[in-house]
Amino acid sequence: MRTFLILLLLSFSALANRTGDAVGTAAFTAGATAGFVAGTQHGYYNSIIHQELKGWSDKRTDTTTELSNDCGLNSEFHLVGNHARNYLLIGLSNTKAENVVVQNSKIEFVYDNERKRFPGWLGHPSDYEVRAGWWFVGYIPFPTKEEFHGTDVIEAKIPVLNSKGESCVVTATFNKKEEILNENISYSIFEYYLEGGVSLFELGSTRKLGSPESLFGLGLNFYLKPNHGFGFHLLSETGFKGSDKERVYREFEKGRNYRANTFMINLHYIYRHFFSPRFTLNYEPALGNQVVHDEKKFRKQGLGDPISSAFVISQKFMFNWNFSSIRSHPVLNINFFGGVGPIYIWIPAQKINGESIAGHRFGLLARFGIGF
Amino acid sequence: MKYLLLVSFLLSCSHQVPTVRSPYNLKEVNGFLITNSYVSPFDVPTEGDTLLVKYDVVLKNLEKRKREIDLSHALVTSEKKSFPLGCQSYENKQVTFAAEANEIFRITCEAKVSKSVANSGDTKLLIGISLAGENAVFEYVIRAEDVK
Repeated sequence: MRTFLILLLLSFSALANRTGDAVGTAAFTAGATAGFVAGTQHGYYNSIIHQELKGWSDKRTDTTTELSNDCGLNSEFHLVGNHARNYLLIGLSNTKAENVVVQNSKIEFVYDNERKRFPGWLGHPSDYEVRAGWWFVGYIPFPTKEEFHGTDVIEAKIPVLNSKGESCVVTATFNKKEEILNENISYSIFEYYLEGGVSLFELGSTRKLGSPESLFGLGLNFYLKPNHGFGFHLLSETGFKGSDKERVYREFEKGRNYRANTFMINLHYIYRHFFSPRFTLNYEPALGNQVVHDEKKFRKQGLGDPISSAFVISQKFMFNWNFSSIRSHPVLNINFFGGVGPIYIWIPAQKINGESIAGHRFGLLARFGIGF
Repeated sequence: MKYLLLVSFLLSCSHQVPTVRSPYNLKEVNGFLITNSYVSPFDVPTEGDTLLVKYDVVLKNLEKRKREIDLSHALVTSEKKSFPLGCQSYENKQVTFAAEANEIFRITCEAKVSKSVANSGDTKLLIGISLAGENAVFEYVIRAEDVK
């Protein structure tokens, strides 16, 4: 979350300061949010420590750092990325005796020495003047993360104008060392979803309850890393019917048609595997609590308390397909996804009126969700 | 009441707010281009009566020849006292090594600095890393709360 907020701030801002000043006083903004120097320097540090693209890191430094003194300017470059975008992080120190202008509107990337791409600015990029003796840092967004897949060399060209209007290009070249899928795809860090499904079969004493007619659920997932996260979900199985029902409820009502429901609250871990940028598998083992109850009229008639709750373990394997995305902000991408997969519920021990309904239930779920 | 709670919360978190430890520096010293981007702005760890100051720089040899580097003379200097600064190359953990022409490399340093340097409040240390005969110097801020 901290990283998200910092990037939210920094995605709109760059920082300028006088070279060698102990504590800066001014924060440059590209027409939007200003930030304190300390916070921004922390954000810069945070980006290169936690978000540098490992697949492009040099083993000698364990970083993606490229340093250059092209055009008489000291400049450094890093490749960083969050869940939504990849960025060129640039630091430029103007040690010349004249002001220079960084032409943001003319920055180019060249992929594999042949394919030219312009930055994925979300607003109109304005050129930026760096005064003599000052420096600035900024983020230049790549158009898409997905293009990093299969690209081995990226060259960044930053045109700079001097006070006479003469142009010079500062360049940085990055070579990929290792293909890391997570660095080449946009993914959600938070998602919520609705689920519906059917029961497949039951094993053990839980068969006394019969089979539920339908399953319905909703949940939230939070991803701390591309492959790992946690979440919780609610799942209701409704309309249990079965030939053994009288055995469980015979004390209440013999021969009467009834409907039992279960309601589960589960906390789950998530392992997310990417088969491709759009196709993933979520494995979601969960711990939770199941409550079994029948229709309220049973209780109204004073036939006892049929409610029973117990500890349950469930597992889901959901194959998700991200079928649509909206990207309108540096860190906010909206992904619409659907999924399908089996659910397994294990009830280790549960009784209704002294009779065990422990066992295993298997179902099939379909999911629709929105991720951010 | 809610404002009191908010202020209490902010105060309780204040020690975790990162500060500028070492002002951002991207400079050329004796034919080496150096950045201090990787210096942590977070708390300085302590060991008994000493502060564990860590410094981390990435450099490029701008010259078109191999340069010999000897990091054994690196120092941390306060107003009153100097402390040895143990520096080594990140890749091979060597104190003396050669930097090829246009090579980008990384140096990590660590020093034990007496807490007494900040007895009278905040103070600035000077980190001096020797590079082929010339020192690359960076400021490093020790705050009063670091020695509490």
